[in-house]
Amino acid sequence: MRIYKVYIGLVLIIFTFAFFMSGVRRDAVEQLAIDSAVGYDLEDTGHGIEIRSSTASRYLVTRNEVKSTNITTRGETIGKAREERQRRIDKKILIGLEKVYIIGENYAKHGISDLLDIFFRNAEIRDSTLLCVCEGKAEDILKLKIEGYPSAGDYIEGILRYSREMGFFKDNYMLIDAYVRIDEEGRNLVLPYITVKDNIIEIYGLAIFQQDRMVAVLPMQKAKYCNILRENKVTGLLTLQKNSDDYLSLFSLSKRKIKCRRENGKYKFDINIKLIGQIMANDYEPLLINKPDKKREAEAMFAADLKQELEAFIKDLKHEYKIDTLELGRVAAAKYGRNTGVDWNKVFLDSEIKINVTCKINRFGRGDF
Amino acid sequence: MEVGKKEMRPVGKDEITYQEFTYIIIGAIFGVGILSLPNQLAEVSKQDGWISAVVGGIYPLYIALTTIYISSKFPNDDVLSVGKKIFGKFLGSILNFLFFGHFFVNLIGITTGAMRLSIVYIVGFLTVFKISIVVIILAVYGSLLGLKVIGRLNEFMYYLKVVLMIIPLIALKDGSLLNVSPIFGSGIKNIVSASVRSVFAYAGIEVMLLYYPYLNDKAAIKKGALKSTFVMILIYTYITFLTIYYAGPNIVVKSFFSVTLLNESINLPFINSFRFFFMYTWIMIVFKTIIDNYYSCCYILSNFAKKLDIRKICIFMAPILVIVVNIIHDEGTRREFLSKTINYTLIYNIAYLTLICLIIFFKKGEKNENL
Amino acid sequence: MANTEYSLKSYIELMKNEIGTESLLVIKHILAGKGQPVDLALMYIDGLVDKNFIDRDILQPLMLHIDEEINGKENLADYLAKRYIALSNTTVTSNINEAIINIKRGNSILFINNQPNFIIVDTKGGEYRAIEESTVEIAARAPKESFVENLGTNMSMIRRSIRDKNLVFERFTIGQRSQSDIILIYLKDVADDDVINNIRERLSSIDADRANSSGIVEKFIEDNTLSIFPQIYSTERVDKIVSRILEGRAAILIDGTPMALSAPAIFMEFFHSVEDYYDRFIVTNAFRIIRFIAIFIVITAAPAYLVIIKFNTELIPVNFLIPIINSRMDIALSPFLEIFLMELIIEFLREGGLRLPSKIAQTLSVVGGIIVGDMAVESKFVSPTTLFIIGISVVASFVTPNYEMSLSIRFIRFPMLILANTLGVLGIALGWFSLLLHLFSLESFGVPYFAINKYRDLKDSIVRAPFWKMDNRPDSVPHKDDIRQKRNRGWKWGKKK
Repeated sequence: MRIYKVYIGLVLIIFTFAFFMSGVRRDAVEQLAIDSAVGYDLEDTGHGIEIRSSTASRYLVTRNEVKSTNITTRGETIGKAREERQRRIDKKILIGLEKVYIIGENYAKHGISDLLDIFFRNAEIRDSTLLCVCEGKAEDILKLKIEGYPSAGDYIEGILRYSREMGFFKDNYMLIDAYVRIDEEGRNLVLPYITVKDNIIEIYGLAIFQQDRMVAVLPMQKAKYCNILRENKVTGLLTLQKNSDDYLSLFSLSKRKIKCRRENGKYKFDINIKLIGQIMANDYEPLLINKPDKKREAEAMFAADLKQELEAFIKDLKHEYKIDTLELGRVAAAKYGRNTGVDWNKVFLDSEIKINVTCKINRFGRGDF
Repeated sequence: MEVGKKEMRPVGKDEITYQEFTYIIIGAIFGVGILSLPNQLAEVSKQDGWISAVVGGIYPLYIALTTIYISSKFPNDDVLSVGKKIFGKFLGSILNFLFFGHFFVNLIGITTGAMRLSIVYIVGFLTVFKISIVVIILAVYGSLLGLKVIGRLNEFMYYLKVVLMIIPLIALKDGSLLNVSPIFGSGIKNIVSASVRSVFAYAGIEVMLLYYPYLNDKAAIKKGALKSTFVMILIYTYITFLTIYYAGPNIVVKSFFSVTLLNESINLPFINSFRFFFMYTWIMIVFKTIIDNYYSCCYILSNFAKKLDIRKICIFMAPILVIVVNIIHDEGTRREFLSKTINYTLIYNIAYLTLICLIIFFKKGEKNENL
Repeated sequence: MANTEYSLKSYIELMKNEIGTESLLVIKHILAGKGQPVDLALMYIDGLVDKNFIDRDILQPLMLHIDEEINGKENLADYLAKRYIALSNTTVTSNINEAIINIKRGNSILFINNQPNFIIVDTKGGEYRAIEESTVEIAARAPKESFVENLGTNMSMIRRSIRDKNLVFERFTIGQRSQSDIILIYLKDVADDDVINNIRERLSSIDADRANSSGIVEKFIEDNTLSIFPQIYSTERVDKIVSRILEGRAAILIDGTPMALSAPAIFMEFFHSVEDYYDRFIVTNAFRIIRFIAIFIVITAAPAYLVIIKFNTELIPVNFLIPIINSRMDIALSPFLEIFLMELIIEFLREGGLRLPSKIAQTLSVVGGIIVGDMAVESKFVSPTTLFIIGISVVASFVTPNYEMSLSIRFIRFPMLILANTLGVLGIALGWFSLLLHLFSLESFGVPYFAINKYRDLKDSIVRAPFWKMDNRPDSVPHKDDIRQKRNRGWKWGKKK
C-alpha cells in the first residue's frame, strides 16, 4: 500500500500543476504590441452617435532598429475601436505602457469624461501617463516623422515633460491630475495644447476645461500668466523690455498664496505672488549687483509690470472666458464649506480679486559683460 | 482549570508574550478593510472621513474594555468558556455559535476581499477558484502550526506594516490641506453615520477575547488590549487622512480601493509604478490576516466539544470556505452580503458581551466561588 | 598454583575472541625479571599505536632493565607500572571491558600471568593528517587552524583556546560497529541545562551501525529532517567552534571527521562569516548588508524576471522594454523553459566542478561557462537578458558563508520559479510567505530558529555593533550567565563612575 501512496502523490502533483496552468493565456513579452502614444479623436456624423477613433502609434522592434507605425480604428465607443484594432494587429495589445495620450480638439470640445472613465477603471493603465490636447486631429499629429525618434509620441512626451522648465508650467498634466481636478469642487483642468509648426511639434498654449469639456485655448503669453496665478512654485522667464536693446530678464521661481474672505455674500480673494529670481540678461543697467537702489528699482519694475499683466489677464478671464481657471473656488470651498450648492464659476465672476506681487533678485550670475 | 485548548503541535507551550498578543490583535484587524476604508467613509462624510475613523474607534475600545473586565475576573478562561459557565453548557454553546457567526462572516469578507484585490491588481489572468484554493491551503497550513507560530508571524508582519505605512508619506508633497478643509464641514450627523461603516474595518478585534488566557503575563492583558486598540485607531485615522489629503474627497469616493491611489505619488526609476511592490507586500499581510481569522474560527469551533481536535477542524473547514467564497466572490454580491450581515453580528456581539459583563458584575460574589 | 582464570592463556583467548584474530592484533610475549622470569604479554592493534613508545618505554625497561626478583610480588601490575614503565599515562585495572575499549583506540595492554590486574598503557599513534588550513572555509585574517580527523588533536586545540575550568568534555561511544567516540563540549556555567540535557538524550539514543561522520550524526539528532534549512551548524574551523562555545552553545566533535557540529543553531548565524568579527566595524557592516541583498537576489531575481516579462509586462517602462524585446526576438523557447534550462545547465557545471580534479575543473568552468553560454545565445536558445539575470543570481549564491545553507538557498530558487510561472506575483508572495511560516515554526533543540523578538540581538544580526559594545551574550541562545564583557575601553573614556 505504501508504494501506491507515492504514485497517488505524484499524480496529484501533476494534476495540480495542470489545473493551475490551464486556462492561463499570458504571452511573453515579445508577443505583445506596445504603443508609444495613443491619440483619440471624435468625428461628428451629424446624426446619432459620434464615432470615436483611436490612433495607436505602435513600436515595431527589429534586430537593428525600432520604428513605429500608426493604426487608426473607429467605433462608436472607445471599446469598439480597441476591438477593431486587435483585429488588425498581429500581436496581443497591451494597454498601459503608452507614454502620452493625445486628445483631438473635437473630442476635447465634446467632453472627455467617457475616456477618463475607461482609464480610471482599468488597473493596468499607469496613472502617470501624460495627457495633452492637440490642434485638429490627433491622427495627423501622430503621422509626423521625427528624426531620431521611433515615433512622434516619444517626442511629444519629451516636450510635455520638460515644459516645466520654462513658461511656468507645472509637471502635473498626468492622468491622475486629470482625475483629481475634473471632479473636485472648485477645481478645473488645464492641459497643454500642441500644434505642428514648420514640421515640428510645439506647445501652443494651454487648453482650459470646464468640467470635462474644453472651452478655450490660451495662447502662450496668456498661458504664462495663467500658470503664474494658478500654480505654486513654478519657474519661468520674465522680461522687461523698453526697446530693442534695453531689456532685463529674470529667471524666477514664483510662489503663490491665496487668501479668501467673504463680506456680505461677496467673495474677496487676495493673491500674493512672490518672485525669486536670478538675472539672466541685463542690458539695462550695468553692474546691478553693486547698486542696491538700482536693484530695488528693478525689482519694483518687475513687480509692477507683472501685476499689471496679471490684472489684465484676470479681466480677460472674467469677461471673455468666464471660467475659474485659477482654482480660487477650491480655496473658498475649503474655508466656507463644500457641497453647499454654490457655483464657483459664478462666484469667481462676481468676486473681487486683488493681486500683490513682490519680487526679489537673489542671484546675478557670474559677471556683467 | 478549563481553558478549552486542545493539544497543539508542540511548538513551545502555546504561550504568547504580551507583544505577540498585541501583534496578533493588530494583525487580525489590519488587512483588507483598510484599503477601502477611505472611500467608504468619504462617501458619507466627505473630507471629514478621518474623523469618522476616530469616532468609529469607539467599538474596538468597548471590546477592549469588556475584555479587560472579563479577564480580570476569569483570567484563565477565554470568553467561550465564560459563556458556558454563565449560561450553562447548552445555552452557552448556542450563544457561542452565534458569536462564531461574526468571525465566519469576517473571514469570508476578508478572503473575498483579498481575492478581489489580487485579481484586479496583480494576477488578473487567474480565476477566482484557483486563487481561493491557494489562499485557503495557505490558511490551513498556517493554522495547523499553532498559536505560537502565528504570534511570531504577526510580529514580523507588524514591522512590515509599519514600513508600508511610512512609505506613503511621500504623498504629502502632492496633496494639500485644502483637500481636507473645512474640518467638520460635513456636519456631525454625517460624521457619526459614516463611522458606522468603519466598523467592518475594525472587525477582528474580538480575537482578543479568545486569546487572553494564553498570555504568560496576565497583568499585561490590560496594556496589550489598550495598546492594540489605540494603534489601530491611529493607523486608520492616519491613512484616511493621508488619502483624503492627497486625492481630495471626490476622487476618493470614486475609487474602489482608494489607498492604492497613494502609490501614484511615488516615482521609482526602474519600475512604472510603485503599486506593484505595494500590492506584493500587501498580499503577504493579507495572508497573515486570513490565517489569524481562520485560526480563530477553528478555535471557536473546536471549543464546542472536547473531542474535536483543532487540527482536524482546520482541514474540514477548508472545503466549506472554498465553496462559500466562490459563491460570494463577486464584488457587488460581496458588499451586499457584508453590509447585511455585519450589522447584525456586530449588534449581537455588543449585546452578548454587555450581558456577560452585567451578569459577572451582579453575581460577583457567587460566581467566583464556583470556579 | 596458578589461577587458570588469570592465566595468560585465558587472557589471550579472551582478547582474541573479542577483538578478532584477523584484525591486526599483535601479541608480544615477554619474560621479565631476574631469576624465575614472569610471563608477560603485550597486546596492541597494529597501525593504531606508535611503536616507538612500545619499543623504547615498555619493552626496553621490562626486558632489559629489571634487575630484581619480581616473581611472587604482591600487586605486580601496580609495581611494574610505577617502577619500570616509563610512560606518562598508565592505568592499572582488572576490568576486561576497559581493556577491550582501550585496545581499540590504540592503547596497549600488558597482561601478567596469574595476576588479576593488568596495565593499560597510552601508546596512541598512527598516521594522521597534520593541522592545516581548511580548503573549504578560508578567512584572510584569522587563525588558519582547522580540525583534523584525530579526536585527541581536536580536543587539544579547543582546550588550548578555552582555559576556563568550567569547560566540560563529555564522551559518548556511539555506533554498533563503528563505535566512534563523540565528545560533547560546553561551558558548565554558561550553557543552558535543558538544552544540554536534550542534546545528551538525543546522542545517547542513536542506535545504528555507524556514526562516524558528522553528516550522519547531524541527521540523527536534528529536529526536523524534512526542512530545507540546516538546524545544526557544522564547520571545520577552530575559532568558529570556540566562539560558539563561549556564547553558550554546545560543540560536538566526532572521531574520524574534521567537521565539528555546534548546537543549537539559529538562522542568522548561518549568514555570519568569520571575517565579520575580525575586520573593521563600518566596512564589515556594509558587506554584511550586501550579503543579505545578495541572498534576496538569489531567491527572487529569476522568478521576478519571469513574472515581469510574462505576466505583468505593464510594469517596465518602455525604454527598458524595447531592449528586452529586441533581445527576445525569435527566441525558440518560452521564458520559463529558458530560465529553467539555463539554471539546470549551471547546476550541472557546478556539480561537475566539485567532483573533478582541480585542474580539469578550471578548464570545465571556462569551457562550460563561456562556450555553452555564448553558444546558447548565438543559437537563439536563450536571450542575453535571461542569461545575465541568471548569471547574477548564480554568482550571488556563492556569498553565503556556510556551505549547507548555500545549498538550501540555491534549492529554494526552483520551487519559487515554478510558483512564479503558475501563479505570477501571487506565487512569489506565496513562496516567500510559506518560507517565513516554515522558519517561524522551526526549532533547534527547543530554541526558536528564527526569533525576531530578541531585540538585544540586533547588535549582531543584520549589522554588527562594535566589538566593545557586545556586552551580553545573544538572547536567542538560552544561557545562564549573561555578561560576557564589561567596560573595556576605559582608557579612552576617562575615569567614569
